[in-house]
Amino acid sequence: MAHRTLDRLHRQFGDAIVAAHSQHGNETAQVAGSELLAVARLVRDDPGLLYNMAMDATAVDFLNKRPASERFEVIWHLYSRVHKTRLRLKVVVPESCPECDSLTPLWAGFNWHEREAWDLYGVRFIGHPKLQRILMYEEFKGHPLRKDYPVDGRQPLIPMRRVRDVPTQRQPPPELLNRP
Amino acid sequence: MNEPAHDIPTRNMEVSLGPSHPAMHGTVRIKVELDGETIVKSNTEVGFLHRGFEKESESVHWAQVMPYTDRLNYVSPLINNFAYCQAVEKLLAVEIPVRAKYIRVIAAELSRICDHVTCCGAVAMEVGGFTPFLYMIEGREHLWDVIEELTGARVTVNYARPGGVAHDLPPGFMPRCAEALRRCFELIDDTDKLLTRNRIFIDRLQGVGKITAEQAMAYGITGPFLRSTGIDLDLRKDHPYDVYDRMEFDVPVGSTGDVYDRWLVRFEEMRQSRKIVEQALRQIEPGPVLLNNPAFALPPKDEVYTQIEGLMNHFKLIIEGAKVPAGEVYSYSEGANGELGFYLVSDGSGKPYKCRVRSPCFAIMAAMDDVLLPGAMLSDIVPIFGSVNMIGGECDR
Amino acid sequence: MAQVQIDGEAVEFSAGESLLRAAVRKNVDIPYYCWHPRLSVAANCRMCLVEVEKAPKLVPACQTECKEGMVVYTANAKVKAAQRAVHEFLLVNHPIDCPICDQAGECKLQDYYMKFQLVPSRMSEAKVRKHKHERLGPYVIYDAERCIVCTRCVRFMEEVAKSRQLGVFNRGDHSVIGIYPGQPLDNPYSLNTVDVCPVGALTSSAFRFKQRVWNLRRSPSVCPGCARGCNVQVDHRSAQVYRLLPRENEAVNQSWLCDEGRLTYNRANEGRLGTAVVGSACAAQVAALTEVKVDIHGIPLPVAELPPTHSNAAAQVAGERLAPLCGDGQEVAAVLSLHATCEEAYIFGRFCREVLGTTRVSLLDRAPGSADAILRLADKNPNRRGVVQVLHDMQLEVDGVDALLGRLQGGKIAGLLVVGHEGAGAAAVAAAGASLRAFVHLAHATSPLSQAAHVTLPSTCWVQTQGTWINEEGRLQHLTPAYPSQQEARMHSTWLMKLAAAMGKKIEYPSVAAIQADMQGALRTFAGAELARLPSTGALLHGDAAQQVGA
Repeated sequence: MAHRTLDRLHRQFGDAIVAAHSQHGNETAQVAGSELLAVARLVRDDPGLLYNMAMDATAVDFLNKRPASERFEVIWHLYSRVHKTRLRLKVVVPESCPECDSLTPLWAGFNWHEREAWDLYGVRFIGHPKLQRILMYEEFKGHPLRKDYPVDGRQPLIPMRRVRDVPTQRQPPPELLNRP
Repeated sequence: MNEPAHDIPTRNMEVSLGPSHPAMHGTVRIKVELDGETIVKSNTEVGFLHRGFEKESESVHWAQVMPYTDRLNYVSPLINNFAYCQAVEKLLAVEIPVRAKYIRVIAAELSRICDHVTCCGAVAMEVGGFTPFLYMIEGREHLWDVIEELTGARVTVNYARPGGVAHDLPPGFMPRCAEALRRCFELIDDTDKLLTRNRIFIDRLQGVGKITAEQAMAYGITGPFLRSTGIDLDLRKDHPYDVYDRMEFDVPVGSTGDVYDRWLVRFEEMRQSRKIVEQALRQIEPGPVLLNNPAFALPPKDEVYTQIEGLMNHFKLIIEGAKVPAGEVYSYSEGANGELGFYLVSDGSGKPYKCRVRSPCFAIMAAMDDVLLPGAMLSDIVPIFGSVNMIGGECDR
Repeated sequence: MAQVQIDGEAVEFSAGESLLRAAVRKNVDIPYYCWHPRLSVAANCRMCLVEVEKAPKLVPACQTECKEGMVVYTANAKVKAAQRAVHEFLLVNHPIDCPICDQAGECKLQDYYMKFQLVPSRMSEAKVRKHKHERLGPYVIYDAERCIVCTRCVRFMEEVAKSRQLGVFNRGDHSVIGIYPGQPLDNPYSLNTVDVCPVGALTSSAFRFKQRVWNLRRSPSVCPGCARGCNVQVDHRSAQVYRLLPRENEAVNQSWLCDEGRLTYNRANEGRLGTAVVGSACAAQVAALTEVKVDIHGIPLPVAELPPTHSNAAAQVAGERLAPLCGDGQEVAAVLSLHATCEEAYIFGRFCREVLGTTRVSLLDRAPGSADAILRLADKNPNRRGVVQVLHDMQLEVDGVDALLGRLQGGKIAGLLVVGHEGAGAAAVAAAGASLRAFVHLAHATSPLSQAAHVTLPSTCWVQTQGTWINEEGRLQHLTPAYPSQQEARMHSTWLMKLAAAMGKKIEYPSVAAIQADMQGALRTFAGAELARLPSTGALLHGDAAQQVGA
């Protein structure tokens, strides 16, 4: 059971499956970006696979760990209700042009997850119906989960007040002083 | 829908609910376009409670992530604790002691009851039943007392450790736990009698917020929400972890996928959880609750204070964090709202390289605009949104 | 080339090379305490035991020479058992000190415990008690209980510092490191023994109990103590420098640093200026510029733009004071400290020529100090060569403080601009400048100059400045900011640009990189030097640039 999906993908797509492993019981297939939609359609519709549930999608930033041409990994997690198996699809995306196909047209559930990946990592999903920020606000600059965004970076919508401007020990107005 | 039923020229009205609204179950903004009272279009905005869980986790040690997980689903923090630990344990490739597994099951099921009690109480309150809400919160209070006894805190529990749990059950835990459950379920049963067959209540919930099984699965919806559509997916049964394979329990399912079915499913799940806790309390046997592995578990305090070896071990684990082998894992367990997943990437250092939470209610919220709200009435938003049981801390992370 | 096999991998070696060196070269992780790449082999810690095929027992890798065809195992069960046993022995008498030990966090005992022992203690006997606090010399304190008697410190004093001030006394578990009666450890390189100590036995009296090392951040820098330009690592936290440690640079300082240089870390902390110091002569003008109008409740009234900070206002006032004194038979004298970077010297040169209209720069330098054949040089100014060459390339005349004082007496000089305060003549210049019509000073710390000047603008110190220094042998080395400048402090070059603007002239660069790009075109010294891509160990100037200009 365990390797059936990966075997099937290898047979059908050959070199388009760039790498595969099943570390810690997670079947993982790294797919060439051009073949992603074809692979996704197969794993969703093939009666032997039937990955019908969209569990999770996210990205990982490998800044300074991998060459810039392989900086981001976009990851989708799928679950097959029928076969009770899981599959992780991966696409490697370069820093210069961080985009890949969206899987939202195939599984509606990836809509928000992909929006989140765009929001936090700046990976564009081609074919996504509404690629807008979701957790951060529209005015936010940059993508906070990228490794080059500082952990203490602040972009307040309303500027922080300088302490000097905050009236702390001000004199009560005279009309308040003589209250009964 | 856009076809006017009469000749009077009308315009659709936009109403904005939230982000802070008395009838809203969490900090969220729903912008709806109304034709009369019917929702034509909606736009759900989340993120108001985004705290950068993932960014923070990447800058602390593996063990220091634990308190942050408390604050994800803050009604059932123990489940988050255990789910995170389970993921780290998979990366470490270790098996935790059996007693720790039992404790995790007991604590997780108590938390599940707390979560459902809160959700159901809130739904009742939001549609106008204030008394049941107070009953339910009192029931939760009994369980939180037990959890406080076990972990030292009611909400910010920080109880799990990679390799087990922080400490053993306190003396006299079992009778007190049984008593708390008894008192809690008295209240739950009262609420059940008050509401479940109440005509007004049924009218308010039945047929509202319907979703089909296929839609729910495509949206990645799990937990009670999915089970209300008739799919008996429960990770405790389908992919048993800890000692759920030794427990006897049923997975309740609904048939129509509406708010009322979710109500029924949650009520039955509470009873099943009670059954699990009682079985676990009967089966649990003495033994260690934490792996004694100096590579990642803190040494016992008497070794730290009296031996240089223990002290050095303690220092290194605190200063640099335990080193977790490089790799990636997606670990999943059944949270109160559905599948709670942790996707961790380690680069072999003392800090997570990536620590992603797949939160169950985020997936459900994604279906609000497309499936749940269009066609519903304005007043249905409240029970629908209540039955999602959106927990801001978990949804927005 | 001859080969040995280490853990199944063929490793080439040169004649006489030890197994440990060959392994370290290949990044094979063999633990060691007593071995140090720059010291002789003692082989007394026994931590580097490895198995060599056909050898009757385990051999210390540090002492065993590579021989053709040797087959070595560094991590098999036998070796691991030996490492565990040796480490257990090393800890037998080790006190339970981590919470009060400065070494915790960078201690090899801790590191190796996690890597090679990882079992609890089996020791039930009482530990041997020894001296906890023995002052060996002015800077070094010895804790005999923590000592594993690896003798690295003894060998350092003997082989590198060339003075036998340390020795091993007594035998067995009574062994301690000690000094000879009446001869304290007062060698100018004594603090290196603290660096080479792999455990917490030797600690520096300057750093003791100041900070936990895991809280410190580390940044590369260059020592400002003398013209040698030793490479250092700056350990800092919350904008405080806590210590300087030597940074490996084979061509300059290897892995050593003199005590005098180490103690210069305090120059980054003491007397720092956060905002401008304004003398009574200018106080009213600066106050007028920074005034915030408030209503009767003390709440600031809205203003079109934010009021300028105190220092910016002070710079404006300073510029306005200097401006009328340039030209018309009057003169503003310009003084530059030899701590300035080449970039600052370049901006200063442009400022003198284009804004002040003078071609003469007086240099503020530190008095010569003690020197030796190891690292220390008599010239205590870190960038004498850089500043002099930059000014020379810009065809500016250079003189010293004495000449300046003479000129001040001539009466033609009406104003004074002093950049930097590091120098022996500072007090004399301050005294002479106090009576002038304008006296502007840029410095990172208080000094007689900041007390006498009409306006003192707060600058960054060398660990916060970006730029280059040229050491005595002509090596170009980078300074990178370890932490951001505090409060209103800015680099000298930034203030000079602001002063120029206040005086109606324009010197503008968006960044230090832009200054460097400009310098490379304009100055002979930097022609061909790739300032943007300087290696961390610096690079020697070549060609004409290497010719030293007489100061």
